[in-house]
Amino acid sequence: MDEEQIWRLCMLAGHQLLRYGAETSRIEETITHFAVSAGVQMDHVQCFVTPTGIFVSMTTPAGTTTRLERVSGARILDLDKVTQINELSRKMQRGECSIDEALIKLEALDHAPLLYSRPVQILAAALSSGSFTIILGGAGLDFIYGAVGGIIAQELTRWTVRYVPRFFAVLLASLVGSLFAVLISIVGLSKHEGVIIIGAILPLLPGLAVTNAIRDLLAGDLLAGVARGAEALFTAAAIAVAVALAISIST
Amino acid sequence: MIVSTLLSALATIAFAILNQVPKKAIIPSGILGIVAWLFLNGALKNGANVIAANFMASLAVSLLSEVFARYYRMPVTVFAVPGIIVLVPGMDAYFAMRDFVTHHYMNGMSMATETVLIAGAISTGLVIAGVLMRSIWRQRKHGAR
Repeated sequence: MDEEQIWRLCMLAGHQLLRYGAETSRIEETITHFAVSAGVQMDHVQCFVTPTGIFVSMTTPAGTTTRLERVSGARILDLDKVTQINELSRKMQRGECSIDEALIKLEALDHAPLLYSRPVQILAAALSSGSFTIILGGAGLDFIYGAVGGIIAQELTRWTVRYVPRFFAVLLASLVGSLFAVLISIVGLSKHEGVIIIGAILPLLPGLAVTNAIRDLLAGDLLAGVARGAEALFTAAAIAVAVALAISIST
Repeated sequence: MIVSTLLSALATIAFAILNQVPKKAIIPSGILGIVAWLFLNGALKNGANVIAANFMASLAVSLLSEVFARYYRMPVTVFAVPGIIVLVPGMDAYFAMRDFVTHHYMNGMSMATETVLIAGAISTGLVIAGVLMRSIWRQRKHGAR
């Protein structure tokens, strides 16, 4: 058994899962599964994952080693890749795939393009925001205004999230999105300012952070759960402040 | 009613695509959107409290997400995250902020409290579904041994 290979496999898998938005218990389990199916004994792998770093300790015939991997930079929500890494670890557990094959697959996945291309995502942003404006009580052309607001908010988040933590990006994006809706109502194109604002910014809400926080707390990962819950709260507060700022201009 | 049901499916699917869910999960998430909308409005029409209605809808969506996750062998988040988006109390939050901005602090506080309670009801649905599925799953694992 090549120890360095096992380390690379575990760290790469953990790093990717964390960046793509998996739950903490899933990351810890997957790292352990990879190590165990590569030949390390079950009680010789210890793993501790926080939202910004991964600690793994392994005991092999060569001795005990602990390594730390710092995970920083922009999070890319990609549940498809989370699912694929999950499947890969199951496959390796059943012995259908060797360490080398798994490593090649993981590295390929790291560089693979997103499942849905940029135009599809812009269309999705438009359709989800547009639909929400109608569901929440808008009518007719509000669909279009909501859709445009949604595209603005989504694309602005995608651009700013590269430079600042997610809740600052969301603050800016929801401010611009809400200002667009306020502008529409000031010009007199629509009377439903509220539904356009909410439709445009609803896709920015921290749905994944809330769900992950709850699942982490349920699994007993208190540190990760509280950190993710705080992220969700900050994001929600940022959106609320942005909306308040925008509507204070119109009233 | 039919239009808004279909639109909630569309909105859920589009939101799922923004989260890059696997292609196989797209149809199930549309179903979750419809389930969420029908449960929420069904409960509201039958005179349920708005917080109770959100709790019921969230519980239904979360349980169905857990079932889908086992069936399709995908993480629960793939289904639960888009599933609950229809329930998010966006308009309540908006009215609360508008009241605050226009100095109607008492109205704003009551709207904000309702928003927080609805958000709590949605999370409780997720928690209960998680606990139920965990206990069932663990029992089955032990039974197989």
